[in-house]
Amino acid sequence: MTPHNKVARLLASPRLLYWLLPGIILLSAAGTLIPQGETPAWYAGRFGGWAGLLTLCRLDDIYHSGLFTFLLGLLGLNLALCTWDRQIHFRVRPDVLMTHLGILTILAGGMVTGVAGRRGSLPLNVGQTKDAVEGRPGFTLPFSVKLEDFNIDFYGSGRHRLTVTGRAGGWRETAEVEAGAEAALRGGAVRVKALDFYPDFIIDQAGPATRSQMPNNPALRLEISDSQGAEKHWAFARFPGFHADPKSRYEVAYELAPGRIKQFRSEVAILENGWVAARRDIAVNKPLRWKGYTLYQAGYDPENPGFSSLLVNRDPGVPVVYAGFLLLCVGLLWTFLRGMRRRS
Amino acid sequence: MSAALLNICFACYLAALTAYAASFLFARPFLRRIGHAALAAAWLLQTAFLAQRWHASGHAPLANQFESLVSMSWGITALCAAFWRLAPGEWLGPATSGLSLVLLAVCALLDSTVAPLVPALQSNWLLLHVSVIMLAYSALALSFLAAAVYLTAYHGRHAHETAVGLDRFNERSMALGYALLTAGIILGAVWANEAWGSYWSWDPKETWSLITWLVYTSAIHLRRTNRWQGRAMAWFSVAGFAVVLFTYFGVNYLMSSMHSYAGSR
Repeated sequence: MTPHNKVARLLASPRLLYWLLPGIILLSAAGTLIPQGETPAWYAGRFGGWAGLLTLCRLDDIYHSGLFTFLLGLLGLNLALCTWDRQIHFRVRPDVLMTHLGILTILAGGMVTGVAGRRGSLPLNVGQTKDAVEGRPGFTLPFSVKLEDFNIDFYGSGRHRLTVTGRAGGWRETAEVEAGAEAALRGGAVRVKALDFYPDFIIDQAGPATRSQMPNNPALRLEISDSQGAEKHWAFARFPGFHADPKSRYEVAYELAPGRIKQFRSEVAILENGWVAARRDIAVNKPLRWKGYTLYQAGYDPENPGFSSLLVNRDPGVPVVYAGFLLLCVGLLWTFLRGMRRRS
Repeated sequence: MSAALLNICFACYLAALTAYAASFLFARPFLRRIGHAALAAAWLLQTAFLAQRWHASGHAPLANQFESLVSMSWGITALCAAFWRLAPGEWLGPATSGLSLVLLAVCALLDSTVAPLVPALQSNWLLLHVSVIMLAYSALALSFLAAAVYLTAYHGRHAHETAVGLDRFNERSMALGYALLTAGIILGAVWANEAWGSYWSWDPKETWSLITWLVYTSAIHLRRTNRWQGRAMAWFSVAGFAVVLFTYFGVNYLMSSMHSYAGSR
């Protein structure tokens, strides 16, 4: 047997698969144990003298390293040659052939993604229009995206915890109150009503208002009533005692446990040649597809309620990978049903 | 009400295991029938618990580790019923009761609060992806149980009729688990592309799911092409299930992942 034949036979042998799979498993596991994509300084701080060897072996970016790509390529080649070899000699069962073709198609789709896929971010402030995508030089959209509005929806307004101190009686009591509802203190002798809730309190030309639904500066407007009458209060979670009336019969301390975030919603306009071609909402799990590009809700800034970061993706590998998924699923289902029929 | 249902369900699994043990110790077949009835009752109560939780939360009970673990235990008992006639000997009922009991005991350590869904989980893909993965883990758990019984009770008796049956049972449940795991990973990849803009990100959960898939791929290929069976396949099944457990629990607690909402809250 010539060396050429030996290599060809090894490449078309399942034995190679049993060497490749442990190798791929070990490298994949290593990639989850060693933090990936950090800076050289970070690795030097964490691993000391081993950091140089680690980066030299590309263990800081295993999944994009030459060795890992080589192993995946070899796996694809081995699978293709094994299937081809058996097809010639024994005729591979159609379900097995379909399963193997599915895996090969997924690997091919992954290659297309790696070579032709483009992704980057589009950070926008409300009112801003952009077509240049950050993170990849020269990546410009054939249309512009204007962020018209950005909102964060919450499940409820959160839990408002009020600690009320009676200046005359020297008592102190804590109660939770919902926005717009009332709580009873001192066995009902004192009642606290949360009149209005401002998650991000500001004063604009019309008076008190909220800048956003983010709890950046939570404020409650309260009414405290007892046998002597009712008095109005402002309570600020971040500024205790601010705007407190020294003549008031009560002191109020306010804490807010914010509600859970329900959804992030960017309202965008797609502009083509200066004209609005479409207006759409982008939310998590609800991307916008436009002319081969997909825009995803990717980030926000808790300190800046008018900021939204969109992820832009153009990946011609996706249809190929999905075709592979379909082939793999149908192939496996076929194999499973065939096995059941044989047994019955 | 909901917590009480789960507690009664736990008691039924315990009763089933006790009845099976008593049947074995005192050689009384009617005790085994009581075990079967208690196991069926436990599964019905678990179904009621999951349905009630689904109704109360407004989403499929698959959004955190507590809910998915109860679903996995439910899946193991459901598949136990489906595979009942294929199982040789009398091991399937006791083994299923014991494993479900352990899983429900672990559930008691997790946060069971019904919480609203975070934005990333607000999708119909949650039901599709997580339910298929949990069913896959359930089938692989049955494969592990068959392997464990094979290795402990039929050590050195590979030609025994029950040992051969256990080996076949291991193969069949593994084949079902493998097919479901493949479908679950694919559904997850399609969802990831819809939510995160990438069908594969080498996130630790994704990577360990792939590792699990590769381990079972090796096992199935060794069985089909190299005729591995008996003890070797049983050990492969045990090792594969250890990887399943690491993917399911270990990644949530030891690694930072985009799937971190899958951990206990």
